[in-house]
Amino acid sequence: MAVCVAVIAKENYPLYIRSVPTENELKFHYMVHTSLDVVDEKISAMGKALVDQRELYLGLLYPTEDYKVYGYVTNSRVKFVMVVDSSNTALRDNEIRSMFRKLHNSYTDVMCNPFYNPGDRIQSRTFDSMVTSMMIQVC
Amino acid sequence: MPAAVSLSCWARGLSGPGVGRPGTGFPPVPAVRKPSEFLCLLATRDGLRTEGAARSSSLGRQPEPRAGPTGAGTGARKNKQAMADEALFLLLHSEMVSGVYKSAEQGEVENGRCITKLENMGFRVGQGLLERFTKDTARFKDELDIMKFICKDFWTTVFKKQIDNLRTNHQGIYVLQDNKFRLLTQMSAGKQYLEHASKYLAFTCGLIRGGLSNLGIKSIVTAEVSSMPACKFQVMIQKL
Repeated sequence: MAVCVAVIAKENYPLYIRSVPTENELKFHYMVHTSLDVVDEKISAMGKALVDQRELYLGLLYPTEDYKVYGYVTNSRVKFVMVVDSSNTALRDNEIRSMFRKLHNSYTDVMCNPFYNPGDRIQSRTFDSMVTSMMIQVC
Repeated sequence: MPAAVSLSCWARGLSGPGVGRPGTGFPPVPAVRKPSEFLCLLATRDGLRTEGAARSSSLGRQPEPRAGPTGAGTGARKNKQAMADEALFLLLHSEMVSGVYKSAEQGEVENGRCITKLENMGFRVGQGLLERFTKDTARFKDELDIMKFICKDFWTTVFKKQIDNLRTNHQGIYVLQDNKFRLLTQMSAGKQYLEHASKYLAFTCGLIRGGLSNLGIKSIVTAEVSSMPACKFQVMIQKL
């Protein structure tokens, strides 16, 4: 499904970023970096929204020719960005949402691990394999 | 609800493989790690890394039973578990305080260091807990919204009751008053042990500070007690 998954800290530095090895890695890094502005914009707009609209899932951030970029922000302002191949039209909004839920659950587990220092790069193997499972489902 | 999860997770970490062998008829084998030591693990930053790599798998990723401690619909078994969790937390906390102070006695360090240590432990635990508690809530509107969350949901899951009174001057100072603070109820009410109260509040101060910092609010939290089971936490928010 996803071709690139990234976790960005509150202070906007990457905690975790991984993309499919077949493609140019730098391109995805650039894409994720660009998306952070859109995320910021959406969050600040959301502060004024009604209660039921204040969801953690941000929806589609922006589409490019080949890819779609989706975003999600936790209450602790940690951002999840996912790049999806746009040729994969079977992928619905709901599925993306549930993928983000899974990512969030996994991230929470990492956070609650006493051996993880908040703010460090995520090196958890469980987290890694969860991301792998999300990327494999693609093809 | 998540408090039960994390606390029972601590409890499991404590008991280790030796406890509760069914059928052997022996009393539970005492845990290898003392409770105080275990909570130190949660908080200390260095020195445990090598050991940590091996142990983290068993600590961080336990399959979590979704046993809710509250709510009218939960069964008797769940209620029992909630009670056990609560008792465990109280015991673990008091053991942790005495553990920190005992280790300080050997090294001859002053009182302030112990408070700081306990506070830092609370900080890390608060960060983790808040991450878990806010997982399914809507995004917070403002600072006050966050404080309300701490007073209601957070306090209920950790201490089984809400904060009794929240006051603010709308300029970054919040006073949270708890008339029957859980961690002080085991001591005699009144003024007899007033001087010892501060060490039993340090962890909670850290808990609040850690939780707030995880939500992006830098703060200073102090506690004050005038008469025993009641206490006040003052949260001073640091504006950037």
